[in-house]
Amino acid sequence: MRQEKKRDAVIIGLGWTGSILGIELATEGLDVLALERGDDRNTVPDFQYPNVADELRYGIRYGFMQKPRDSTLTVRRNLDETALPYRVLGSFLPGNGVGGAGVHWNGQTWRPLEVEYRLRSYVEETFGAGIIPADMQLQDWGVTAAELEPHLTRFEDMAGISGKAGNLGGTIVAGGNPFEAPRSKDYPLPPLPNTWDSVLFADAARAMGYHPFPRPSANVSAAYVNEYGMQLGPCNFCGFCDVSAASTIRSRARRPASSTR
Amino acid sequence: MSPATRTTRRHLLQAGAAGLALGQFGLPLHPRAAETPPLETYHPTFFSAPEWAFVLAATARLIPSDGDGPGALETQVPVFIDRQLAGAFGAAADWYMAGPHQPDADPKLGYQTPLSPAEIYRGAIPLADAWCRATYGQPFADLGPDQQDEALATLEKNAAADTTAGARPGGGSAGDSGGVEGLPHPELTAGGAPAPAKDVPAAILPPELRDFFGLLLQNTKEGYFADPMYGGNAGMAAWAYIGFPGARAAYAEWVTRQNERYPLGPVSISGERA
Repeated sequence: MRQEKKRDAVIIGLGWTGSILGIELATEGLDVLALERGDDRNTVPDFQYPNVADELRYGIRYGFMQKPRDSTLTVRRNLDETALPYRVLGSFLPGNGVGGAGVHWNGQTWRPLEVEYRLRSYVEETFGAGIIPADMQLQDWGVTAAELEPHLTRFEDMAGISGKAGNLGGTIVAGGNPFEAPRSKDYPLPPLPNTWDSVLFADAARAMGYHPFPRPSANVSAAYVNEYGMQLGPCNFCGFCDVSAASTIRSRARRPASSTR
Repeated sequence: MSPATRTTRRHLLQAGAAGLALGQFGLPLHPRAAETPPLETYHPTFFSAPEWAFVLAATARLIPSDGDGPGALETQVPVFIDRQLAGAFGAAADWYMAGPHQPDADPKLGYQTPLSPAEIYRGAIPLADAWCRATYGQPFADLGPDQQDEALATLEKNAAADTTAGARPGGGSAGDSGGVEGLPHPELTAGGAPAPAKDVPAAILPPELRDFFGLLLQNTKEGYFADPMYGGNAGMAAWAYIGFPGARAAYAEWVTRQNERYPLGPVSISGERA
């Protein structure tokens, strides 16, 4: 049996969460070991063009996802059914390898609305306490939007999120999401340019009195270096997002983390 | 690259023009799609002769050649399917294939057969051909287009109105369907399906093989649209037909050139152009 030396921290699974934990713990001076059962992955060659634009291999055969043969789960739709194995991927796609599901994450990066943090209280205040059935597990989060705000801002800065603020410290900003919780600063990068269909949609929505705004995107709008020194390449509108949601997304935090191994 | 092009380029190089940009002489800087050998000369790796005849005929009905664009045969979809079934896809290499199996589960619960895609093709084609013989007197490949379409529609439903005595290859008359020796689970075919109730249309295929038509249709579409490196979409004809530029995968400068026609034709992952 192989014996590894004793570590301060062992991280099991090197996706988004494990990677960020890894680099943060390592920065604090801890000796960190990260374990990942899938392949190691690098922007080149694993995500290089044009190979990654192979829709059969990645979009249809799910080449970047977990293989059910290695491990899967069972599904039943109610308590009376016998659960059956999820044998062929399709309805949901567990990520695999270093970077985890970040590989095929679609990159939409929303903050929760203020009421979502205190949904039970909001429903009770608005509709009366009696409206929530006893067995409905509706809860407040126990943390407020204001308390989480600095951490969400740091995450957005780390990931180079491209978007347009709609509420800066309580002041509504034209062109952004007017319904979002107050934020302390704008996104680190401006929004991606609108495609033609988005332009038409936004024009129509605006004409009807709505407030269209660009979606906060982890497909970044310009070259960017984050706090960990990771270089993020801009989205080139390749059209193969569903195949490998942009090589820019997955590598954001993983290299410093894995280099602590 | 065709032999003619190679000769031309060699002559150019021999003439001492190597230092000049070949583009100035009208030669393509990137290779054009190689001439694909005709389908008739292809020797299937996976399919037997009768299976190959079935697949050629069936894909030709799913994407016919007499429509607007290229058909499954011109784009060599059967070659794609043959290679896929001979490889990891055919073997269900990535899928969870261990028991327990409940092949007759609600189809909404997904793939539940113990058989791999290759085993499903191997088991289903003889049964489908047997049904065609019992119903029309000939195997699928020898039927006319209308009967083939009718047979495919019946396979898609996997339920045939039992109008002909003995026309139930998946049921009582399975003994003469033959040709299923290659199936690794022979107990699943002949006599394996429960005898249908009187008013229930007979299934052509037992539950273990019921995904056959879905696989055939899926693989036909995949072969039509996948990169030509997999054997189908010959000459990128399917991409050219729908105006898909292939693996170019870089349109940042086109996002703001809105409602403007993109002028470039398809390019494959290996860099060939249509």
